[in-house]
Amino acid sequence: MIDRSISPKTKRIDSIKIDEPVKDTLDNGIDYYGFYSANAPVIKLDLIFRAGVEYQKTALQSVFANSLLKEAPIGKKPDEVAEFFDFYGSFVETFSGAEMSGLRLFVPTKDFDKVIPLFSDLILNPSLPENEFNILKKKYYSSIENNMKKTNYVAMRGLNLELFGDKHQLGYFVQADDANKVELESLKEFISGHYTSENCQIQIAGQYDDDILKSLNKYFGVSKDGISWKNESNLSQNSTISGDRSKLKLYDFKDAVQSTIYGGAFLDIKSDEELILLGILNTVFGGYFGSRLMKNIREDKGYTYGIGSFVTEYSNKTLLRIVSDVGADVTKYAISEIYDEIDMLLSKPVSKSELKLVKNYMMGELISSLDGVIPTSMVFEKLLSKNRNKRFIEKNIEIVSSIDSNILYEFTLNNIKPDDFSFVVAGKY
Amino acid sequence: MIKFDRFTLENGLRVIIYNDSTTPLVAFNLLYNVGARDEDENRTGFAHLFEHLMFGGSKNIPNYDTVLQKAGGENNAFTNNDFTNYYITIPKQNLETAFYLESDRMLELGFSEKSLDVQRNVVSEEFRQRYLNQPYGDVSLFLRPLAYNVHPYQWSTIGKEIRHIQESKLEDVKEFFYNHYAPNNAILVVAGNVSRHEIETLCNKWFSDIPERQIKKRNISPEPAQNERRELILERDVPADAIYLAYHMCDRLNKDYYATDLISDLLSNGRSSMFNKNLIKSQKIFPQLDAYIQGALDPGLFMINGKLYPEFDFEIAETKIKEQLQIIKNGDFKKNDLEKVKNKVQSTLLFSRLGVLNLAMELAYFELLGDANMINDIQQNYREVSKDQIVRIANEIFSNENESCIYYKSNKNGK
Repeated sequence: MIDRSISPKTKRIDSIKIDEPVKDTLDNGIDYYGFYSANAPVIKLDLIFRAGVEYQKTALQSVFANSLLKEAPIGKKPDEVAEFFDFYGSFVETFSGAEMSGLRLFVPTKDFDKVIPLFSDLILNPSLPENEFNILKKKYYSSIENNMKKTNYVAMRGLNLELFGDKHQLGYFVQADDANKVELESLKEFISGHYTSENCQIQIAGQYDDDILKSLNKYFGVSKDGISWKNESNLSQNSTISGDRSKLKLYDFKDAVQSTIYGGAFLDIKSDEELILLGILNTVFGGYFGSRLMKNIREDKGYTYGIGSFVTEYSNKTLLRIVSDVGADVTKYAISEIYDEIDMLLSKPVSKSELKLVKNYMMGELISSLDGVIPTSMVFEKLLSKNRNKRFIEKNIEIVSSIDSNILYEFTLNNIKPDDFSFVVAGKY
Repeated sequence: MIKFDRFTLENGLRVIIYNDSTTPLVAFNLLYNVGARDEDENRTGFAHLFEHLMFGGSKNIPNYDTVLQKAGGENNAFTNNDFTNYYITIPKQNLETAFYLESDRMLELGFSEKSLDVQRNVVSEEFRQRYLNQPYGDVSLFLRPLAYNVHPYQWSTIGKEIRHIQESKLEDVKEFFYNHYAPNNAILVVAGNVSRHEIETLCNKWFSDIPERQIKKRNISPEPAQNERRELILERDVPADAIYLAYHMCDRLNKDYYATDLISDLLSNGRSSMFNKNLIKSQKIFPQLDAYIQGALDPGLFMINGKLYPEFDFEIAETKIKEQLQIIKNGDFKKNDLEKVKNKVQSTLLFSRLGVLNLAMELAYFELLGDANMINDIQQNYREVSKDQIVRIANEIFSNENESCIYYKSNKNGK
């Protein structure tokens, strides 16, 4: 019989293999990054633009423009386009975030050549069909109306409003009626000012070859049919932050059986090193299943199915958020426990054993985030959007594996201020 | 062709090894052949609650998660109506920790009153979060019992009601463990840069001393054929009316399964699908309309659901959906359309198998169905589906007598 009281020895993870992409430039100056793997005969191709919510002038402009791009290029019907991509088992997705937006193509390698001309046409010669635009308005109206019945959506929007204020595109609380106010003309403007070659970056991941890279240049690296896609970019942001930052704001849902809590504060993060320290601190606090928030509020109190904290970097601000859906009757207690956990972070350094656990967990997490070219390309997409590169991951590994709890504690004392937090509750209080 | 190796321990644990030398991670997937269909109708939601308790400490290891996190591993689990699946991804060098953890909780759970107490609350909150506090969230709590009178598929994995979860007792937990958690009721798949030899050594070391157990015999009454349409109206504080249709279909091993799946693809997979093209984009009746099959092991349901724009009523919505079903029943779709959904299935399979974890889960699932080798037949099974077969199945299942329908009415504006 084996002695089960002794756990197997675990080895420290001290090195992580990073499949660094090959960087090159198309003839028109677009940077592209290649993540090659012979694992499966498939390709993921991303065209990424600084065209997220932070760059829009009016509500929903960024997401509408992005979403309409996939419909059809000039001279083609949306139904034909959909039929064509579906037939080749390929998927065209649009994505639209705070900073970056773009189009993503998933395609079996064998069909790349057939699909790429139309995919490129979508971006270079968009038609923004009126019928699809009207459907989008109706769909968004109905989906926002539905979201307004969800405590989670309302609390999320509510916190953004408290922090950024309604003048800021990230703070403005979008209402169903905003969908009706979007104008096709403003989407055209947004696209011609943002979806340009000089504002574009390409990532290709999977099993590709030289011919496929050549066709990238053919379809995205040169002007096409006399229509240059090297329009003048027109990027500007309104970064006025004017939120009320209430300590506690309630959106009342009279029939709610749960409340969604969103809490958050802006942090003044000045360097990559500080951002990495914040990543470690966030993991301790609410960033993994064994975090303090989970241990206390789920595993000890049973107030919730899940609670977590998250770090988001916007273009000028870094935000620490806490999110949970809790029983309506324990909302107050849950918030008070969250504050207790913030105070705990400030009261003493993280113990050696807890920090060791967090380090190992984070290293494991890093390995899995870089396992395979598609996950790796997702990691680099985020890095590149912040003008970072492989060096950031290496720095992350160095700091995580050598972090001392006093350094983390000093960082905590300098950056975490309980008074800076705003809480929004959608549900009952 | 997916190649794997396999062996069975003397205590009945089936082990499958898949080698992928390109990844530094190993996926460790342990599937137990027990799900919500094995529950007592007066104690529903138990298999899922039990899955939560599996993380509350085992005989020799009080804190499962801490040990795993120290080894740089991650884990999760899910329960459905048919089975319960636990999975870990862990850096190769610490793989043995996964064996240590999973074998100890297969040997004996901690059976702690405190853990039961907390998880009853956690699962009740999960019930509220996913089923009660979301618009339309409670529909499956009504649709399942409408479609099934006898079979345990009449309740969701979360259970019929929160009360069942809250009334669970520690004796129930013990009984459930010894009735269902045993090497001879489990399938282990290890996928990553591993050899058969090293997995055999680790399995012998950690799993071989766990005794084979008497598994409670599954005693499920088959659902009798439905012979008249069933309808239910629910009225709720939601912004839009929604319609839900469910039709009984074949079981997972039936040769019609793949064709039935392709019917749902013809209707709603992709932007050029019939629902999308005709009812969402051209006629603009629904902002959202989906068709899918549940993929249950016993005879399951073919589901259709959609939200209506306010200018249309249920009658129009239903007529319009049925017009689309009629197109399939009449065979009025192009051969090209069938080719298209087959191509889509094929490419989805390619993409879904990129990581070792997905592959490990899939292998365990097919082994549960009877033989992990079936993983290599899927593409062919879809390829072989003929238009005639689709037309025949559509006529068999899309009938009035075989239909359960929920009109989920918005009470907005005095409607």
